[in-house]
Amino acid sequence: MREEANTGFTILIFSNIHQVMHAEKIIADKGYPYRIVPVPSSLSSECGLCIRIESSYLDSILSDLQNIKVEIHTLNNEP
Amino acid sequence: MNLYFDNSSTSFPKPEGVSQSINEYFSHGGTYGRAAYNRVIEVSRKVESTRSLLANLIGTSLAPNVVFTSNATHAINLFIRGMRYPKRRVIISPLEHNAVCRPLQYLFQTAGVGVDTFPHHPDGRIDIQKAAKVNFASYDLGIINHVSNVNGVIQPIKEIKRLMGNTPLLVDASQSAGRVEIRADEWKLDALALTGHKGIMGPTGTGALFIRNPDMADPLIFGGTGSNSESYLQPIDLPDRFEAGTPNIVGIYGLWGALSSGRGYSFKREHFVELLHEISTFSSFKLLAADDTDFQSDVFSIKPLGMEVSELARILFEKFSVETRSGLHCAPLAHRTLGTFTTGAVRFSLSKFHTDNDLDYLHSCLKKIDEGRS
Repeated sequence: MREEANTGFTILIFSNIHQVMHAEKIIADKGYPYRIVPVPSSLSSECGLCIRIESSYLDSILSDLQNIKVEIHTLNNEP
Repeated sequence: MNLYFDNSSTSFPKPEGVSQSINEYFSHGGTYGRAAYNRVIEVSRKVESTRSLLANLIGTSLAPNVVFTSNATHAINLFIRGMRYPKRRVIISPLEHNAVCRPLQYLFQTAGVGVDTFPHHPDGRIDIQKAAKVNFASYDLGIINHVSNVNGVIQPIKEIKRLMGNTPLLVDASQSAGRVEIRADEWKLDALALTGHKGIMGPTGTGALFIRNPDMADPLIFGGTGSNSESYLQPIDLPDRFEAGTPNIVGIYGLWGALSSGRGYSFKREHFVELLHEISTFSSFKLLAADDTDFQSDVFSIKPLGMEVSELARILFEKFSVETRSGLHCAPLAHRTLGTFTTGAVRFSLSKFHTDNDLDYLHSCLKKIDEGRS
């Protein structure tokens, strides 16, 4: 597991649960710190789940997620 | 001794992992998606892991294109009824089940879609040489029962799809999934329907449709998916496009248990082939099986000569405790092709749990019945 540095958080929103679970597996296998959280209502009326990551790992994670469609939101406060 | 020979209706016994996995679900509960607490996350992981196992089983890298259904009939209907038929013509194998024939009959009655049959050998296997002369461009769709639920013939899917070119092919893998090899990507299959409770040995109420290009079919059912909830439109992304409503989570847990079991065959293939050869020598029965054993799966039927098929099934059960299925097996077209319509036959469908000893016992039962009538 990589160390969690307090550099702010980024929310990754996917098109459906399948994609969330697919992305989670990749992120977990690579050892990035992450949490699965409800989609913040400030971002979407979505009732599902999304992945919150350390912003400092965003570029690396996006590179690992390759072709998975993802919506990226940087947060000022922890959701 | 395992005397259950009706695994083409539903498999029994199941691998231990099936009930263990189902119990695991009942011990913690939870739904698929829709929220982000641990109970839900665990279930969502398991559902997606099961989807990946199914994709691996049928040889595709396109896991999201594997859509959960309640059985193969549901999957077949989803595809057949979701497709469009501008040419108003479909071509099918001569061994199709009513899961295909009935929706096609509905299409004929409501939209004038006609049906032709692939050229074939006497045992129903597609004749590749003759099929090469078929103008497949004149068809909207081809449908092939990969393994017959009557005589167990394995169709040469790879060769058939190669001949069909860009004409879509739907493979009904109801009997083949978990029993014989499927290579959906390598064979360039357009769609494949399977059930979870037969060859895969999972619970009833589970199945899947593999659909390579989701634009080929409209959804059969519309509703909530836990995604794009602000919209009244069905999501276009897979698998949500075809998976409205809460899935059969209990069943999918059981399916995961079955797919993870790694169960191999307990009887030898050559022993089974020898059994078929022995049965073919009995004068009281007509064996319904593949003419070439290379195309034979572990399903076959026999038609008793001078005896009702139901009577043979009764004797097998009451005198020998052997469980079989007699009649038409919901496949009147197959029985017409094999010359056993309208009486049908007695079907024997094996499982990976059967042993050589079980096959020897079955042989001895049929031999006794044959000798008693000769």
